[in-house]
Amino acid sequence: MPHTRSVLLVDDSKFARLLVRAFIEGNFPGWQVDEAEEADKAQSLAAQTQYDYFVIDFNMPGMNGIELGTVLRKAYPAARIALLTANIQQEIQKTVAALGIDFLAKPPTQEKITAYFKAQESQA
Amino acid sequence: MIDLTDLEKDTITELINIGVGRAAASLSEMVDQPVELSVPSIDFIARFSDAGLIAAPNEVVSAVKQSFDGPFQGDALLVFPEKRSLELVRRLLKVDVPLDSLTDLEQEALMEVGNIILNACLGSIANVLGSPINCAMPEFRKCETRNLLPEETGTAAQKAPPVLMILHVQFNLRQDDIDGYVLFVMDLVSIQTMKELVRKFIEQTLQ
Repeated sequence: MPHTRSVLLVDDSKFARLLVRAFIEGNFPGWQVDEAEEADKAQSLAAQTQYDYFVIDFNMPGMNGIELGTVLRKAYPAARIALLTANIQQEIQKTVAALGIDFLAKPPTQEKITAYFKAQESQA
Repeated sequence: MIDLTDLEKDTITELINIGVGRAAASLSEMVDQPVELSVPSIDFIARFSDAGLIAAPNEVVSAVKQSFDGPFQGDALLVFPEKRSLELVRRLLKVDVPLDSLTDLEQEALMEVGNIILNACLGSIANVLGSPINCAMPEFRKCETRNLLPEETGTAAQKAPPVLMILHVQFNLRQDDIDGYVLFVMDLVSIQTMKELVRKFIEQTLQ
């Protein structure tokens, strides 16, 4: 029986959140999926719930995804954090890897999102 | 005006090709169908209306603009005819959404498509040239084609050097008959900087 997990999606695009939520809920029934449209809200939600996963966009108003990821990485060392971004530049990928954050290139697809969580779960 | 050798022009075209190839792959993933791309053409023009792109200047288009800066700066635009954009949104959504929310989501969805496509173009160019490029938040607007670049008229135009580099890439979703185009607009200083980076890149590559 797979564990029930909690995921926080942080993306200023409602459209992107809607897709990723649908992909997670379709494949991992019972998982809790919460949403934040920017970093401040993400941090206040994270203070209330112990999330297993954070999926974060890079380009957001206020703190960007790497800044937020750095903060969350320190505060929640046990959580898996992934940067889901259209910004595919090597510079970003290297920075993210050095922080212990996973890199997922947008667009999010059913296969990509499912494969990511399955891979993480099989390691857990 | 702009003095590019054939090799430099060819290299810029190739860089854009790599970028739009990546962008087409992204779009194709999003809509689950092949996306056809035209070979990009590069034009140096003084005014947008000279671009020869505007078959129907009064046609209303949905456009996503993303400003970028780094070694060179400018605006990248993704442009769709308005009448096709809802269809594209319906294509993009893999989940059932009621029709009234579809209209609500139209702008959100197109901004995200713009973000992915323009980042794919710019990111690939940045990766090849080895110089990071920062992209601003995408902006959405609906307007007539002739008003896509309003800054070139009026006072702003007098400040900015009157040279635009227009990289024109047409793409087409054959199944749904949706087409659109990508424009890159840069001023003279940025074009010269990019030319210099391209020259160095060619030099290193040929060594």
